[in-house]
Amino acid sequence: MGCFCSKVSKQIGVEEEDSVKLSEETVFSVSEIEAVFELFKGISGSVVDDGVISKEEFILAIFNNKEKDNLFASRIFDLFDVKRKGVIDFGDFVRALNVFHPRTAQEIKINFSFKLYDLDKSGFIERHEVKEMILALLGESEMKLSDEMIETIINKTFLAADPNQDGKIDKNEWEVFVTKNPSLLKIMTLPYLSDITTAFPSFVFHSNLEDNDVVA
Amino acid sequence: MPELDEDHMMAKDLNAFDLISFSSGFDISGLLTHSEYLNCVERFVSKEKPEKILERVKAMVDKVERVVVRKDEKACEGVKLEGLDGNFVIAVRIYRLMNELVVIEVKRKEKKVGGGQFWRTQLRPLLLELALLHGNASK
Repeated sequence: MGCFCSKVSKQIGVEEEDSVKLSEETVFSVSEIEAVFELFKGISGSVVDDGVISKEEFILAIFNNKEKDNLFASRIFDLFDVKRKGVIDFGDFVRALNVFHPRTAQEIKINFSFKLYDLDKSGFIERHEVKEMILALLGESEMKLSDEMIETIINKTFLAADPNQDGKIDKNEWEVFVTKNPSLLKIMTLPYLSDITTAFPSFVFHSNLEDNDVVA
Repeated sequence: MPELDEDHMMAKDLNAFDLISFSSGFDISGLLTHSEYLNCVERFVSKEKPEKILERVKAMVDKVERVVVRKDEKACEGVKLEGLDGNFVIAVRIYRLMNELVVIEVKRKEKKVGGGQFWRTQLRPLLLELALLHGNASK
C-alpha cells in the first residue's frame, strides 16, 4: 500500500495531471516529463524559489552568469514565455523544449526559428533585423567585420532567401530557404533531450502510472 | 527525418543566418548540463588560408607536451586537440565566409578547474596573431 506511493505522489503530485496532458501534447513520454520537471525545479529555484523561471534565472542557467545581456537569449526567453507573463511556468517550459527535441517535426522548428528572427513580430524577417542581429553577434565575439563586409554578406543572403526581392523574407521564403540550407536549423535541436531521463542519475523516477500497477 | 547536413555547411560559404546562429545566446544546452566541464566557443575572422592556419596550429602543438592533434572527422577543414591529461578537448574548424575571408571556430570542452590553460596561454594568442584585428578590408 501506498506509503512510498503517496510520498512520490506528493513530490510529483501537482504535476501528475499536467504530466499526462503535457505528454499527450508533446513528443515527451510521461517519465521524460518528470525528468524535465526536475530540471525545471533546479532552474526555477535558482534565484527565487517561486516555481517559475524568471528572465534572470534563464540567463543564469544558460551563461552561468546572471548579468549577461544577450539579444538572442532574450528572444528565446520571449518565445518560451508564450503567455507574455514575464516568467516561464512548467507548461511553457515543456512545450518550448519540445520544439528542440530531435523527434519533433521540422515544420515546428522552422516556425519557431522564423519567429525568433522576426524581432519586431511584423510577420517578416526584414533586412534591418538581420543587420541588427549580425551586429549583436559581432558585439559578443572576437570576430571583426567591416560595415562593407556585413552589407555584402546580407546582400548575398537576401539574393538567395528573398526571391521576390522585396527586402524582406516572408514565411514561405523562409521555409524554402531553410529546406535548402538545413544547417540553419541546427540550433533548433538539442540532442541531449533524447536522453533526458538518463541525464539526472541522482534522481529516481517512478511514474505514478507504474506505481498504481504495482499497488493493485 | 533528414539528418542535419554538416557536410553541406562545409562546402558553402556562410550566410548571414549561419553567422547569427553562432551566438552563444542560441545555445540553450546550458539549460541541460551541470558538470565539472565548461563548453565554450570562440570565433575569429582571418584572411589567412585554412591550410596555413591549421599548419601553424599543428606546429605549435608539436612543441607542447601532453597535447596531441587529431583529424576532425566532422569537418573538412578542422583538427581536434586533446590534452592527454584529460583536461580539455578543442575542435578547431575553418569555415569560408566570403572572398578570402574565413571564420576560425574554436569549440572547447575543458575542466572548469585548470582546463583552460593551454587555450589561454598557447592557442588563443596564436589565433589572435592570425586573426583580422580590424574590420577594414584594406589591402
